[in-house]
Amino acid sequence: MPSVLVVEDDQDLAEMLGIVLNGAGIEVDLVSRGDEALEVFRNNQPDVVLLDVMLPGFDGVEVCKAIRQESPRVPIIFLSARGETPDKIKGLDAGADDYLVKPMEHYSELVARIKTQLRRNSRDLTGHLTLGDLTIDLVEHSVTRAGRAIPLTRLEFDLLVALAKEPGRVFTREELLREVWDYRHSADTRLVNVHVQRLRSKIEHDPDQPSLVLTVRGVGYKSGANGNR
Amino acid sequence: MFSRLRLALRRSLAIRVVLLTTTLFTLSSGVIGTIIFLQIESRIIDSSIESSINEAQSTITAAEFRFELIQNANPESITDQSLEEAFEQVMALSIARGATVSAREIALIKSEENEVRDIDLSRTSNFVEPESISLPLRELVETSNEIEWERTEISYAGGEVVPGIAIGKRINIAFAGTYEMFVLFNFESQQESIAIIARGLLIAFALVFILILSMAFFIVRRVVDPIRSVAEVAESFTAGDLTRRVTVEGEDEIAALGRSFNEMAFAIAQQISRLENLSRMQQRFVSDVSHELRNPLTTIRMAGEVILGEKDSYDPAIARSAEILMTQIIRFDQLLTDLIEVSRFDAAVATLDYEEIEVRALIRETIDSIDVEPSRFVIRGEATLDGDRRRITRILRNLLSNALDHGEEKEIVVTVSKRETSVDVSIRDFGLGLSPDQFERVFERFWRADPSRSRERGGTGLGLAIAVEDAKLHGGSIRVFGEIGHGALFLVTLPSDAGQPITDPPVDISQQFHSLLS
Repeated sequence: MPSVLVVEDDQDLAEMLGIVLNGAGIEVDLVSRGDEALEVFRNNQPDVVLLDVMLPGFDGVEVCKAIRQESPRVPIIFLSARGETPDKIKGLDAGADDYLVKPMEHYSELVARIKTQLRRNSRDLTGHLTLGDLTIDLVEHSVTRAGRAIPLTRLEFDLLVALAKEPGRVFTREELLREVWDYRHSADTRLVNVHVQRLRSKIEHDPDQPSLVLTVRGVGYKSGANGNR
Repeated sequence: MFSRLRLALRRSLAIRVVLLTTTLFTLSSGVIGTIIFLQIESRIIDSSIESSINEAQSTITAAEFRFELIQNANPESITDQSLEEAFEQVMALSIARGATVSAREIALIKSEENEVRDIDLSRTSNFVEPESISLPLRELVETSNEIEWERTEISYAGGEVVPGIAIGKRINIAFAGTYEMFVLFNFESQQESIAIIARGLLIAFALVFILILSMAFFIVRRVVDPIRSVAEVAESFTAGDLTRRVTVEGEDEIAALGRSFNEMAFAIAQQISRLENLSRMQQRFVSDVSHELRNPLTTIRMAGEVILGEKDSYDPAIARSAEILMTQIIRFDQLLTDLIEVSRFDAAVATLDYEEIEVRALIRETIDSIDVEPSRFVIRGEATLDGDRRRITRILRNLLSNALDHGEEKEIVVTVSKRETSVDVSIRDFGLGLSPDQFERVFERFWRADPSRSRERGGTGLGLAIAVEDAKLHGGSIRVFGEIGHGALFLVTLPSDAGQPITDPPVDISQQFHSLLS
């Protein structure tokens, strides 16, 4: 049974989240303080982390950074009452994979997003991809340049794979949301923008003049033309 | 040139004061200097004239005495030759006499009516032109028995002209008749002294002028600079820099001005920051309350969804209650979302995320997201613009929902048109319409055209207010026109390019309303 670590200081909300997620067949560990989250994370090794932003003890963004340090792979979803763009960007910059604003349209949305992240963990592609001077190992889930590993989060990896799989194809942001985040309904396309920026900052030689992940103005993104299988 | 000077005079107290001071000084010192100069000049000239007359007197007397000697001679021995010699002697003697006092010339001129002898023995010393003596003086001398004089210019045959005085007397010479004898004194040295004095006075004037000018400048700067710095601080204070203060030195009137200004500035800044704090606190409070409400609302909503999910197992009354509960939770949620949006506009923290938008496609998408039969809408035209997709979607949704609410089930015409710098989207319904006094009010928060009418689509009452703010944030506008019973037209105008101002003239909205009447 997959497990989710829920870090939420509002007891009733936390309990309600537990009820909803249990009902969807997901095991839940509840933590109400930011400073306790890391320890529980280490002990329980959850499959997904659901994180409130405003927490006592340790700010949610700090918790996110700390968990990212421990595990570059585990999917982290922010659940926040603040939905302004700067808040979202701050959260995503801290290494989160997704950002949900309270309240959700329906709790099934939350469940769907968690399941998406879980699926990501078990998605299996095999073989190698190359994009420019990058080598992408789909089995090992690693990206290397000239033998040196570039650490990517799972989401960044999936984003890179999605683009590199079909070199030159232009993906709209909505398509990427579907492909990488598994969103059926139109979600916030800024999610894509932020993650593309982060991916570029890790893989591009000059993130201001990207050569691997290119912007197609008014449409979306594509991988650099020299990528191939 | 003159207008610039006038402008400088009007603008600068310093220039005005300096100019006034120097003008007054020039006038007063000019008058005083002239008086002094004239005094000195007349003293010098008068004393020279006096001594010249005295000398001329004795010279002429001596000459007369010389000519007396001729009278005593034997008349037979008097020839033209001997008379000429006598004249030469007198000339030489007269020239030599008192030569140390002042350079002098002698002129002996035969009178007009002298017919004693044919020979004219008129002569002058050193080639002095006889014209140096004016005709009026000569006439005066001819008729007078006294010594007569005048100031004159002594001119020499070589062309040299010097200032001087001519003093003359009629003398009777035996055998030769009446002659006028003139002694001419050269006043060159006196004129030179006067010129030196004049130059001295001018130099002194120039020095004092410069002194006065620089003193005036210095004093004016001492006075004006602090005033100017107060003015400069006041200006930047007015421009919005509330932290500026005047540097106060000393205890004088200007220091008092600076101090009072600073006190005033402090009071104003305090008042403004108090008001700012108040409004910030209020905005902050609204924002905090809204966010604080989100946690319980999330819990309630999730609980409601769980309860509603089981409604098939309840008896009908409870199942319906659960439905109503959920509907109201959703409405509450919408209201809260709108309130947060409004508080964000009020706090001026709303920002734009620009992207290229195909307006027609976005209208289609928005209609799809509203739960309504798409055939209710007729869409005309197409345009693209740079804008914030989320906000423009919201503008469209709010206006389209509003049209559906008041459109009386009739069709709704959406027209997209592109102009030079802007894109217009008009949404025309043929429903209830609204009166001119409602055109402004319709965008007010929580305003309802007819309080007794319920809201079919469960709007929050903030939709149009938010739509206007969204349009304004883009640099655009939303206007409305309508007639009771003939429907309403909402016109959204947005800039085509991100951040560029709209230069197109405003659309004639009533004409557009009526053109769509059919």
